[in-house]
Amino acid sequence: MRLGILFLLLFFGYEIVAQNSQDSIPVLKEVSVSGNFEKQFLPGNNIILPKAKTLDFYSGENISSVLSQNSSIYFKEYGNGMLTTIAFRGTSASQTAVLWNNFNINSFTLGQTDFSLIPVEAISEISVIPGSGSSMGGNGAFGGAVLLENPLQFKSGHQLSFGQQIGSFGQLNSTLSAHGSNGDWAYSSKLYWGRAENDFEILQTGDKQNNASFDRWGINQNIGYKISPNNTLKLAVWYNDNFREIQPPIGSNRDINEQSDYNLRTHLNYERTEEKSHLNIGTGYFIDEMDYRLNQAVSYFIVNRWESFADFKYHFSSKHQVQLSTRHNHIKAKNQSYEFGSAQEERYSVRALFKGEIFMDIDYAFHLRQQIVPGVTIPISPYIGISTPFFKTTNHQLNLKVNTSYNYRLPTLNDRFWNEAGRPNLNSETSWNKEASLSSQHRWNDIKSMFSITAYHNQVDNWIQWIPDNNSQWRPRNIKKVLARGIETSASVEFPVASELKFEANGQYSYTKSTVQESEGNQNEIGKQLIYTPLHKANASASIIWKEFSIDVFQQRTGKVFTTNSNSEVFALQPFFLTDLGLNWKSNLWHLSAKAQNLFNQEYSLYSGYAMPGRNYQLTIQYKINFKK
Amino acid sequence: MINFNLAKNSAYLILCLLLIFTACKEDEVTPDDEAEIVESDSLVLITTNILIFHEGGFQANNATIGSYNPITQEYQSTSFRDENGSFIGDVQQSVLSNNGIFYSVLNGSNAIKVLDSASLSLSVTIEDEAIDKPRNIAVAGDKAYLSNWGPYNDNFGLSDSRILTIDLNNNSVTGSIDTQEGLEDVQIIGNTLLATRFFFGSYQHLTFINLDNNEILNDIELPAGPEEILMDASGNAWVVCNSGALLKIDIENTSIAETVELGGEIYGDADIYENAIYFLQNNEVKAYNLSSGSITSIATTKAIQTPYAFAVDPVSGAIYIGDGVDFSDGGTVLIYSRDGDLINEFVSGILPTQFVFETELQVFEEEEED
Repeated sequence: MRLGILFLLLFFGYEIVAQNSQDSIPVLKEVSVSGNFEKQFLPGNNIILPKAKTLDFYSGENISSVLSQNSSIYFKEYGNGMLTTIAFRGTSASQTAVLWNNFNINSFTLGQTDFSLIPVEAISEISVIPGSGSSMGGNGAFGGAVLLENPLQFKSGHQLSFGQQIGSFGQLNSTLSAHGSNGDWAYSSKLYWGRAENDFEILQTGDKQNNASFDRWGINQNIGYKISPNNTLKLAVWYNDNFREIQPPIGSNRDINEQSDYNLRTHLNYERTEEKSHLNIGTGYFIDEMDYRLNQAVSYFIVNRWESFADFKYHFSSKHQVQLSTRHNHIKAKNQSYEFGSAQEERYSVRALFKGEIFMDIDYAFHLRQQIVPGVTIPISPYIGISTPFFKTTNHQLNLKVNTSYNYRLPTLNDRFWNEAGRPNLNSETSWNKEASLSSQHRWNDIKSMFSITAYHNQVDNWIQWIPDNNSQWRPRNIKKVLARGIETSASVEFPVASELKFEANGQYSYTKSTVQESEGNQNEIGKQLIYTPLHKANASASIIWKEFSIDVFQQRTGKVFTTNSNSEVFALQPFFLTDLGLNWKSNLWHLSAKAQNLFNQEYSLYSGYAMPGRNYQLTIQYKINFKK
Repeated sequence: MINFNLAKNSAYLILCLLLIFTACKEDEVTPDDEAEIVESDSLVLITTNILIFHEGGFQANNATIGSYNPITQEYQSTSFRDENGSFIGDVQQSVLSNNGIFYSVLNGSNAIKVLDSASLSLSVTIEDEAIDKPRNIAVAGDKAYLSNWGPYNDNFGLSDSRILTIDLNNNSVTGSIDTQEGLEDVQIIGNTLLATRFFFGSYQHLTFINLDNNEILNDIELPAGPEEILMDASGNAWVVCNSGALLKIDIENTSIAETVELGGEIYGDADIYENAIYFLQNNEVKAYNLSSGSITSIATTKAIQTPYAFAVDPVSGAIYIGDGVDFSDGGTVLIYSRDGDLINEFVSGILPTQFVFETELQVFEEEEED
């Protein structure tokens, strides 16, 4: 810990400057990118920004619903509202980084995020950076990074809003949010509460789902204070409390499992802006606690972390800038399954980022990051990205982006410290990603459109997997080599049909081929598609907006996924096509919406053996009060 | 015959309990009147089909029954699903074949599924509040005895294991016999029920129960790792201990009559063929001759990653081995001839756990000489 603080002090006392405008924001964006500084250093990557209408539509749900609708991401969901893990670009659940206000919030014991613990209501902005970038996203950003933010605005009026949702299977969701500023102070508050009996009909059997209720509440409070025009303090506190009965597999009828999760995430940042430089230092304290019960048996762990960073950005010319960063993470976990019941780890990293414009609007970025964890071999992680406009007129623009990076993922605390099984000296996983994308934006009179296509190639080595050894003892080993490659396309269009009638539509299609090339554990999986990775996935949405009314349609077509490493057809989950429909009426004060999900009552599963609901409905009412500043 | 594996797969295993179990038992569908017939002038007993029972993934509700034709060497992976339209359930722990009926013990579903052995058609599902993590079943007349782990205590140990009694006339649980914890395999010999207790090595005991009054006669300590209970042709019970011992049991005196040391750990699922107990030791199939006491090597197998099932074809003597591989992928079935030659190898369902041999008397037609 002391060493970490020393690291941070190395970067104190420099001068600073305001940020430049952001890159890579599509024409049709509806969510502003004000908070995340990290995205600005990725000119070679596309950034996915879910639209406001999608966030509205999936209010009351988890952000996995939003991401699934807006990207190639597949979520393994162990039942409705249950454990939900990500599969992004043919990688595993622990190979996507999830950051909240630039702090990695993946579980440090399991290495992955349970997206069922992140309600849409808790977050103000969601963005997704597909593609590898450990140099930016840090540990484990192989498939991509999901960025969650709660930014503050110092020059906004006060707004208070209440929302209430009621839905099928005993769903109830209530929200109260407020944001605004007053002189040197700014705040953003989000309070949410939700529950569901979740006793939906299992379409496969006709039975009612048992033992699947959940109940949660949380608060996400952000406060900012301008000490002076150039000096700002920001405090953020996010507490999430989630209880759930654990939905059993289809056919099991025993009410015995339940789980409680408690997550406290806090951080305090100090930012100083000067003419040519910007300093951002911060420290955060995080507690992740999980309590699982089966009969009288209890499995419990708690992870306490203290993470601190210092970022210093300097414009050494009008077109070039550098950011130097250092970060320290002190992790302490208590888990009855660890040797001696606990584990401790110190993680350090240093990073240098360069970004600028070469000539003719060609943007570049070059990063180097080195993480240090005693006992673990971690390679240096470089990134090079270039963005260039091929063609640019007032109404049309064609961009080419390319990037390549070498990335790492650290073994988790479970991998290293599990009693009589963990291996403290496991190597980190590595990936070498290359990708190129073409994107275009057009405007013909009132018609706006956008198109993009991305191809990537990601070689993952030293893949960690738990397999039984000669004594049938399960142990983690670096045993696999996986090649993920694919194509992602997206297109969108919007235009006015009549004076007060507007049409919007967008769609995405992804082809993801992720195959095992080498495996010391199972020869039958070589050459086979990674499990829970659909080869084909497509999403589409369309909206018609007339005055204060709108109709939204969301559709997802998910191809077959294999659930066994040797790709047995017997255990594959069949393709499915989901349609959600929403009707909205929105005034300055009121927002009323009615939606039907899984409109055609499609039978489907996102994880082998677990039921998902058929057609279901939600009604939402929201009231906003705007106070004049 | 029951082998456990404690799965500690880092990620979700903590959340979901993280125990993966296995139990294996081989069986033969051999009508009594055929048992002694090997060959006559015009009839010959042959194995026509081998049913391969699979545990399925832990909490994945995808246990399967496949069938293998030893003549055509073809494997059909969805025999149960083809008949019934779905997977059989969650964690198919063991299966008992009795009088044309299969009793499939589903450890995850907490149920017994009763199937017609010829068609695999599901006739009834036995469910009851008392059935909690069942392991194995034995049948005598119209009664069945089910070893039942019961609920976990606060440290994932056991606190209330029982033998549940089931009336097969109405397929309902009628009572229980309170035992000590960790029950595994059960076998009925005369009016005595034998039950091994193991639970990942927490216990190494054999319980004797008098079925006339359902009272426990004795509970004796054994060498480590008691798993399967076998019956030899003379009606003797043998307990297979994975620490490397075969124990002949003296039922009358509720004691160990004879201990055969095998010189090292073995897989806890064994089988009897032609007066010998066949077992798997490392990657070698060996046979302990019940008359001479000699141990001979039958076959050297390919490297087996996760031994999960072992049986010998009662007619041909072919050796069937199920390899669970990584517990989540399709398992591998290896078939060796009685002479130790590899006959076939194929990927089956998830965790092949038990083989059941279906035999048939067929007319043997000799070719007439011109």
